[in-house]
Amino acid sequence: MPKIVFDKVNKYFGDVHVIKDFTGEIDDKEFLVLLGPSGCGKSTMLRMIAGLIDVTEGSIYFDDELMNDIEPKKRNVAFVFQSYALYPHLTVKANIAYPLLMDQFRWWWHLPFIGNLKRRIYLRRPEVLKRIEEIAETMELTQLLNRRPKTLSGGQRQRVALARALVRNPSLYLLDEPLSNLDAKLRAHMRVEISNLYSRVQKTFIYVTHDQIEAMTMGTKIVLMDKGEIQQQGTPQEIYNNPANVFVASFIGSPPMNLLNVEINQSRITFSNGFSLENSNGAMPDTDKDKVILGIRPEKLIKLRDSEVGIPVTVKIVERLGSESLVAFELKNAMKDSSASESSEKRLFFIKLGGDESINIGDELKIGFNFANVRWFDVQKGNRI
Amino acid sequence: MKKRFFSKSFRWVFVLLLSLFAVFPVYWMFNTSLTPVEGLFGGQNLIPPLGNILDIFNVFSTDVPIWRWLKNSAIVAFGTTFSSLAMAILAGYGLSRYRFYGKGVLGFALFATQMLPEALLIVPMYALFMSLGLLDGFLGLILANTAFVMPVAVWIVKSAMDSVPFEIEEAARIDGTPRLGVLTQIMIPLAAPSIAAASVILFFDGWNDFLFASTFITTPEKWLASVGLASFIGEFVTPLATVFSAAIVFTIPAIVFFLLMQKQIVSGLTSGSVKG
Repeated sequence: MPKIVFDKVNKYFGDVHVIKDFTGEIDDKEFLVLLGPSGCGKSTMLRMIAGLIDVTEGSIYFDDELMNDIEPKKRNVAFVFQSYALYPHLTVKANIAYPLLMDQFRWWWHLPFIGNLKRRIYLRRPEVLKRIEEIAETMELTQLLNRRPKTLSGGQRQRVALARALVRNPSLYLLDEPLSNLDAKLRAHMRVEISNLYSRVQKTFIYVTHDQIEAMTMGTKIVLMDKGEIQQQGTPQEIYNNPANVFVASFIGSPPMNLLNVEINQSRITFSNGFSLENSNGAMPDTDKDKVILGIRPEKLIKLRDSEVGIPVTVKIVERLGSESLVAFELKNAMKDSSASESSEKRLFFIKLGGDESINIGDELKIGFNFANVRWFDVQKGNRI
Repeated sequence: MKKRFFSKSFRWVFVLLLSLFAVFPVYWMFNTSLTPVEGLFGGQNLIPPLGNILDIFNVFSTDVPIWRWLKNSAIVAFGTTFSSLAMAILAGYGLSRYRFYGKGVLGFALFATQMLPEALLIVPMYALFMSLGLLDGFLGLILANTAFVMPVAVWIVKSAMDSVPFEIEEAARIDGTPRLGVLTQIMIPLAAPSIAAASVILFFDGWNDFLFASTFITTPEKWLASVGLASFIGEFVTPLATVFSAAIVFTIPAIVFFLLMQKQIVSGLTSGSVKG
């Protein structure tokens, strides 16, 4: 099983710099999720690992062996495509057996009709049939073996694609947004299936997605990318709790982390609505700048009683989700004079409250938080301080 | 209701007229081949004497070497089909999948060949074939026909391969298919309907060739059926019944080839490979 190392991998398509200095390691038996918005280069990265496209600069190693110029087949990887990419002219059985068949490929199979004939003969071999049936059973495809892809539903096609990936016992599984074409219910089901598959085969998985729920629930490690650059890598919990910059903070979490512009003066913090409070536990950002971004997760905000001292806010949207309510609010101007209201931010922030809280649009609340839960970010660079 | 009836009737009449227009030459050929020469000038029967239908094949028992001509035509037609397809599949795949300098110009140049009339090039080709020793042989004919019809096949195959999703090819490479195998095991089966359609065009072009065959072939034993048929037209007498019988015999292999290929020309083979 390979340990995969990326050393300053760069990819250009013409003049477009798609991957910028990608450096990192993937350990054996890891479930790595490449996460990022559309067009951030995550699928390109996966295709470079598979050998489907060339690396422009830098190196990819599998166990210290340079892989840049190695053919896809010799990398011993399995690839599950977003669009399934089944062979439409072959039955499900022949689709699953195709990688095994290609191991036997000889040049004369190129001749017309010979390849077809060889495939038919090969599919009758008992050891091949046994292997196909084993795989078909685990993927619940036994009833569908003689059908063609066009007669299958989306979920069934996806299972055939997974079965085809499984059949050759690859050492590395590459999955390119395999669930994005499925409906919500099937997606949840397949998520569990893929997690089960991972725990059963105990191989390295690299999974590309833009869906943070998939990333958080399935991955043992997440690499978050944006514009071809790694923004942060770590366990799902690390990335959620300690985002490296404002991009990560706003990408991970639904709703994302609240990012408020504040001014600091020693231990005093002033919000854009003019409200200020003293940081009682002293955990102030280590910076000489007086303007920073204060980040706090919606579930870490606390609704205070009217008599307590807290940030005054106005409720704008209430989403009742049953077990909890998601409340979007604006900062309410705390100063009497009008100059402060101009600088006051009109952005929406979020707080998660219990489902039985009776809150309505237009209500005025007071909100507080524990400073231990606050993450500080630089205003210019966006990095965490 | 009335309006619908009229529009429907109009459609049927229109289709019938078009069909008559298309079928009439075939009917005339059939009718003439069965009518004795003296009958042709004395008001032809509308319904041919079907009792004599097998008389058409009497053309084989005359001293005309029609078997040999048909065989020659078959050699040229199949030769043109196979040589053109072999090149068209490779060229179509290359144009569809690879990026290279001058790709657009090459595609246009292929089209440009279709703008030149064959008659215009026949004199320089004659001179070229003479110096290469390709005159009066089937190889020269196959080459000449291939040169003119292959570009059409390239475009048909290219557009068929354009419609095959990239991911299928990538999947095949991951599954261990060699580069050429991607073409032979995946792309050709998926483009089969279009390749079959192209082969019909190629075969008909070779089978119906007259201009090159009548110019490049001088020995009567090497005539193609098309040239042989034309040779019936005499200075004083033309045996019309024999000419038309031979013409019917001449069309049969082409029809058989078309029917065989028609089975392959089914669309929608790629559906189900990717999402949707």
